[in-house]
Amino acid sequence: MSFPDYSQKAEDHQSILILVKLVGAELKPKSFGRVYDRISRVECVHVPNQQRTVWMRYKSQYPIENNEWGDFQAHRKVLGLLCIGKARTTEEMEDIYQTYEDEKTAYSSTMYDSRLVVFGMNTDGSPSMQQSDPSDPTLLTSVGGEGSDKQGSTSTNTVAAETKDANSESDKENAHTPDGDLEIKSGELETKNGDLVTKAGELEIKDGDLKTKNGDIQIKDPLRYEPEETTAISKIDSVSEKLVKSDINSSEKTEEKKSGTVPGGQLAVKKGQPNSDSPLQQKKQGHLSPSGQSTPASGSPSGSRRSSSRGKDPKSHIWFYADIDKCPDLEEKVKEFVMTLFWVLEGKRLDRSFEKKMQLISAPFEKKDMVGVDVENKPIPQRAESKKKLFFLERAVSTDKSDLVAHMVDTQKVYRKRCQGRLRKHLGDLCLLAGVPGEAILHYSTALDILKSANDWLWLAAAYEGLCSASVIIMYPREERQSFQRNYSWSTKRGSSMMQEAKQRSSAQQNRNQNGLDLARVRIKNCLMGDDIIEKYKEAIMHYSKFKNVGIVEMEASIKACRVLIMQGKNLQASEFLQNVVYINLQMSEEEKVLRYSTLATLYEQINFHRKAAFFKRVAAMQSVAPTVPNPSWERCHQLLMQSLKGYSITLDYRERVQGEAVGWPIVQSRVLHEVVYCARKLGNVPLIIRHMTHLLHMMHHYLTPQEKRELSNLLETYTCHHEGLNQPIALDSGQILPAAPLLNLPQVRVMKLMNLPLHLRPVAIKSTLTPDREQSPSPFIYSPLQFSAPMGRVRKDRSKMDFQWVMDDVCEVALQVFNPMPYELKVSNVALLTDGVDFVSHPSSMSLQANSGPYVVKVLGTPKGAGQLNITGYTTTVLGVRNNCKLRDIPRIREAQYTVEVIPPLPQLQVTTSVPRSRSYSNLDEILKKESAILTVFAGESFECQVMLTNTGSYPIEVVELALDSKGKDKEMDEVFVWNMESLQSQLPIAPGSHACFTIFIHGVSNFISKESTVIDDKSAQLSPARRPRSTGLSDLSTVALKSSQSWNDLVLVDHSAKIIQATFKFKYSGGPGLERGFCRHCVVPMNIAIQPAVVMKAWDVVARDTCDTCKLVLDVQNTTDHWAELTTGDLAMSSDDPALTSGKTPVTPGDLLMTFGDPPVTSVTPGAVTLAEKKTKRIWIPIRRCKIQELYDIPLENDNEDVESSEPVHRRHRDSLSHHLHDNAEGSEVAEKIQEECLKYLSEFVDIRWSIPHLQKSGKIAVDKLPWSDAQLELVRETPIHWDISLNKRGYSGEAHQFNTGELVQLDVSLTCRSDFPIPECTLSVQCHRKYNPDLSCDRHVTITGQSCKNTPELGSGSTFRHTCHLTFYHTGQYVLDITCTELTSNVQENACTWTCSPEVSIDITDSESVLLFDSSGHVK
Amino acid sequence: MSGSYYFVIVGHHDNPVYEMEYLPPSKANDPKKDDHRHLNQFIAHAALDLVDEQMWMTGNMYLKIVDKFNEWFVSAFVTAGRMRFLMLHDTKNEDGIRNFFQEMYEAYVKYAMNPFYEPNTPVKSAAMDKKAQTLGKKYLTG
Repeated sequence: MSFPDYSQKAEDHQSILILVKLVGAELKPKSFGRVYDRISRVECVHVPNQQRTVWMRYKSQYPIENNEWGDFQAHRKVLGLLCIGKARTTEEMEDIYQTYEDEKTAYSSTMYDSRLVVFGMNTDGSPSMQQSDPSDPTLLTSVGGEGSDKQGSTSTNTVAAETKDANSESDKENAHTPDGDLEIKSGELETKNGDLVTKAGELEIKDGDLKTKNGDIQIKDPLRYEPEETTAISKIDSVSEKLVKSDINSSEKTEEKKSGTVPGGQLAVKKGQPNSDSPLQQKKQGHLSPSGQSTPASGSPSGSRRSSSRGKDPKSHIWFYADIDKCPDLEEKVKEFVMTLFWVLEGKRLDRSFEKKMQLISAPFEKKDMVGVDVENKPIPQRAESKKKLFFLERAVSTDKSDLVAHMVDTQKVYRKRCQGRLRKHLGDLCLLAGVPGEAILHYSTALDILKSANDWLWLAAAYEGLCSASVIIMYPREERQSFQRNYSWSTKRGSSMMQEAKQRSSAQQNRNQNGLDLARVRIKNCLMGDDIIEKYKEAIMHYSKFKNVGIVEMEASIKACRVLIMQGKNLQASEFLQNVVYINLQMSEEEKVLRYSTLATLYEQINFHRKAAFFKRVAAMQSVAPTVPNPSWERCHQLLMQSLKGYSITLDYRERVQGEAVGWPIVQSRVLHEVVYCARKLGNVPLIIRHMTHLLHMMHHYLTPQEKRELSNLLETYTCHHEGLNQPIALDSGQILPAAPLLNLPQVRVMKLMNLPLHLRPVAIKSTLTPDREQSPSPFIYSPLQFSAPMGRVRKDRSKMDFQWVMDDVCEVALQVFNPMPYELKVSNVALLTDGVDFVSHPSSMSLQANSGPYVVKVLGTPKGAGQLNITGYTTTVLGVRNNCKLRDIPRIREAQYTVEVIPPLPQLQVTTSVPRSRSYSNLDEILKKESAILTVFAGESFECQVMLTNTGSYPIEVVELALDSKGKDKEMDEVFVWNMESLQSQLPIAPGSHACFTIFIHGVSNFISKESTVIDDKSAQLSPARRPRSTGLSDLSTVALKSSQSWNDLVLVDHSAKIIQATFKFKYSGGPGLERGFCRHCVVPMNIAIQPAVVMKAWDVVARDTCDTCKLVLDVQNTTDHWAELTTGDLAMSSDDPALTSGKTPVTPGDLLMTFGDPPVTSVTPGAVTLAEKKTKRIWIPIRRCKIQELYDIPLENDNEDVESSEPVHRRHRDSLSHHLHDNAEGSEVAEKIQEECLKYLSEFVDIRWSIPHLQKSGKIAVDKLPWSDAQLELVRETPIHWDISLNKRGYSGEAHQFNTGELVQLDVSLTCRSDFPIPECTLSVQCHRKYNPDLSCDRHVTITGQSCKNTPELGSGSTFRHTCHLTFYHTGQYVLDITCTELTSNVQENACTWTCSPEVSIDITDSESVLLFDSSGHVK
Repeated sequence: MSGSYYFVIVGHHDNPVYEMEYLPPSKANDPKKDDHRHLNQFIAHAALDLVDEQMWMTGNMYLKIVDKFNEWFVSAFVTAGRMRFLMLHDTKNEDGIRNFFQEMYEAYVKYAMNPFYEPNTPVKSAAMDKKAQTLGKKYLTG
């Protein structure tokens, strides 16, 4: 036997082998497969009315060589033949039939019965196309006959009757026959058979001496079932068999009687068949009856029988079906067919006639040795094999001729025993097949005893094996296949499936025992239990191993034993048997070797030895493409290797790999993967190659050497340059699916970060008017640790959720941090994003990474094409020509499985350009800071017009624009620097896409015009309250200023006139389109950097009171800080101090009159109203101004007033109070004071107009005097007092110039106070004091006498009313005197707070001797 | 005493942790060495099934010969931490292998005590190599 069946199981000993063959070319293999499947699903048939089950196994191919081993082990012979074909015409039918006949002949030696299944014909056997065109008359009749059988109509009944007459055998397929009687009969027969069997069993059990009993039975048997089975095949078979035996005994006689067929002459032929004519044929067919041809044999002569068999067989043995799908009774028919086989078998089993005959059944290889040997006397010379341990009697006999005679007697005894033993064993086989394993065990045990004594090792082994099989069948009864078969390979737990099955089986067994159903079986003597089975198997295998020719049997036995062990869950022992299989040395074809290894692998798989299984899978794979194989099957190699991957812990799905740590044996793994790749390359399946290579590169990345990596990559590229590697799973022919193997490591992405939109494109929620209120906490507390509104889970921030939005139709950015782990430069292209949720268009990018380097930050761009939630789940790359989809969840370094960002509806885009150079909208703040150098330089006081153009660069109209100024400086100052008109812009809205709008921003070079060093002076003076201020004349003030200023001039060179830099950003909020509806807008930021550079600054400043009450002088030390000549011009209000017209204080002044210089600055030539300043030079200028009228101050309503309107106190009263208390420390007072100061400054800014110009730079500007830090005292001077003083001396009005009197002269002082303000002046004390001009502290009491009241209370003065007071003064000494005339408020308050007004200018009096000449003028200079 | 040996310590995930080959001086320059190495590893890997199965059958750490393939025998030793020591050998040398395993186990335990050694990761130690070499000479090839 040279064709091992690797699927052998112990149970197969129990199964009738049926060959299902495809005949003819019409039926496609696929359709055949379907039919085969249907048939093979019929696994077992219950024998009616008996506790017996007949099992079948089916083969579609069965080598005749194996069939010949049928004598050795009965389950190896083909008992039934089913041929399946398709025919549409009679010609085809004939063809098929011919093939069928050929097949029958091939297996005729063992076959009991056969059937031909024909599709495509009508059920009556006529061609489906043409009902009748029978070319073959025999076929026609057969057709008719068959039709009658099937349809059972009355007309056909007659036909049936005819056929019965002609040949009664035609009806012996009792299942078909419509004849009720027959069926009943057969039923009876069966029951009787059952009885018989049990009886026989009992008998045998009871009595060891089988022969006699058997004889009885044999006598009985035919008697019993003869009447019913007159036409039964099996009977005839048994009859014929008995005839063959040629030992004419009683049984034979009975036989003759019953059947009435006495084939006298033929009986003489030993071992010949009654139905076959030629002895040659007999020999060929062997001693066992070939069922197919013997069936029709009855009483008729052989010739007629022959013809009838030719003519009849087709009718009964052909099943016609119109179509494969229309054969509902196929299974039933198969069962019936099996039953016929069974009856033949049963007959054979029960027939003991041949026991009388000494016949040696032998295995095929033994037969060869028998050729030419006298069968009767000579024992078969067993072949002594390489196993030397054994003593082979026969060999000795054959070699030593002399001993032959001596041993003859012994030999004959041995031979006899052998015959008996083998027969017993054969009977055991038959019993197993016939479904009585209990009986089989008995036969086997007997056979064992006999064979042991006969030293027939081969058959002893076979008997052991049979015994084991029978025991297995009893111990682990098979269950019929359920409609749903559990697939145990699904269970993952180690060994669980096996244990389960064993448990199931044994529990079924136990149940039966408990139910008492099959106790008989279990109690059967000699039945082996659990471990014994294995022991016996071992023994059998040991004996088999002594023979070279039964290697395959030995292997099959090992496999069977292994399967039993698998069932018992004894994995280790099973592996021992498998190990044995490896070492059975067989001469096999390469193909067989592959099969053997893969079977081993499968079995190892079943005992959960996955690593072993993988090993043998791989060995099988290597074998299938071994160099010695003429046409290596790479396909198969690949398939096997793929199956082995699991055993090497290689997962095809990269996802499984990601989580686990390094599993498996890297070197082995990479080797196997390399082999897979090589195999795929041999196959030439490019997608497969690419997939395997990427898989290898990815999985084994850490273990490959740089050299290997490089080679692999190069190789991969050679394939991918023609055929791009895709990322879809590849389905193999074997049904395996190769999932995509993305190169997650090439390049490695470690961080993925979604970028917010650039600042100017970032959407910002427009806060509705309601939201601010809502946003404020409803709680009255400013801070509370309890956040009721916030959900609890908020603490854990979801990092996958972005806290910013993207805008539809705008390009968005994702940054990837990548590394290149490969030892070569990696070119990555098509880097794009994988998204879901919202439509997203990726803009693929490419990169090239240096070998073994990183990190690089790569930005991947894309545009969302819809609004909603966008999930970024991964990225795609094309590396080495392979397209990869890399999901984030597969990348171990990135924790988030996806990133989510909200996409809002589209917004317009605005671009802002300004006429200021290099100051335009920037993408982000950093950039703004970088471009700080772009500064617009404005000289202090200069004005600049900045044209701003807004361009809509988006595709949606801009409907709303707001402009806000954002700066770091003081808001107030900014408002002065930047001035614009929003309305002009609003009127241009909406801005359509592509169009633009313009407006202007005015930039003023606001400055305080203070030179650094000069501030000190003013600070000092500012600290002094006017009340405490040392009383001095304006002139003295001027001189002090001059003095101090001049001191500081020395430092001038060192002073750094650094420019003042203002950083301001214009923030345009704009929105439009769908985004506006959703409440979003955008900010566009335009930075402005303005450097305000001082051009002309003040080094010192003061206000000097002039002679009249209504005017005063601003004295300014002006410095030109630029490197160019500068010109100063004053405005309309400039006054000349020398202008006599001014004394009246009413006339406006002609410009430029007064400019005079003094001190160190040289006096330059003065053009009217203009003064020229050389670079870095300082000049002092005076500007006479009219005093600020007090009414003007009152014009501005004070905020406090509004609140007090209802109060009983009259408004004006409040004003007066405010006014009077403007210097007081209380909050109200200071506030008012500030207000008043403001007004003063405003007055200055409005009325003092000093302009500078630098012709060289073509720049000009205005000096804002109001920015100077004027002290309160100075401002007071600017202000006009509410009291108008009218002073006359000796009836001569005083106008600021000193009056001259003589000593002793009575000077009449008339003081008249007039209230100039709208508000009344409260009651005051008017006091007149006199002191020396340059020595105010010196008491003048001795020098002057005041006649009249020096102090007098004044009544409250209403607006416009006047109070007069007169007193007289007499001076005793010459000198210069000053009169202090003050008016102090009388209040109930503390005196300090009282308000005091002083007459200004002070009244100067020069006293001379009556004779002496005036020596001094008013200025104190000696004339 | 002059066969070829291939010794490997296998970790919990079937990953080799330490490998060492011992060749008799005569075969040291065998050109087929490289081919053999792969084959050795395949055999060792396949033998793990048997080791895993057999270690439950006995209380001994030394499992003797657990498997064989062609001319190669596989002896095994399982540590208390379920590290599997495998030895492929083409000559029978039970006692030598037993001793070798025992001493190698000692060396391995010492190495594994190092707090910086993470179990189941490859052993890279010159001292271990040296130790293995001496033991190999002493018990196997020597």
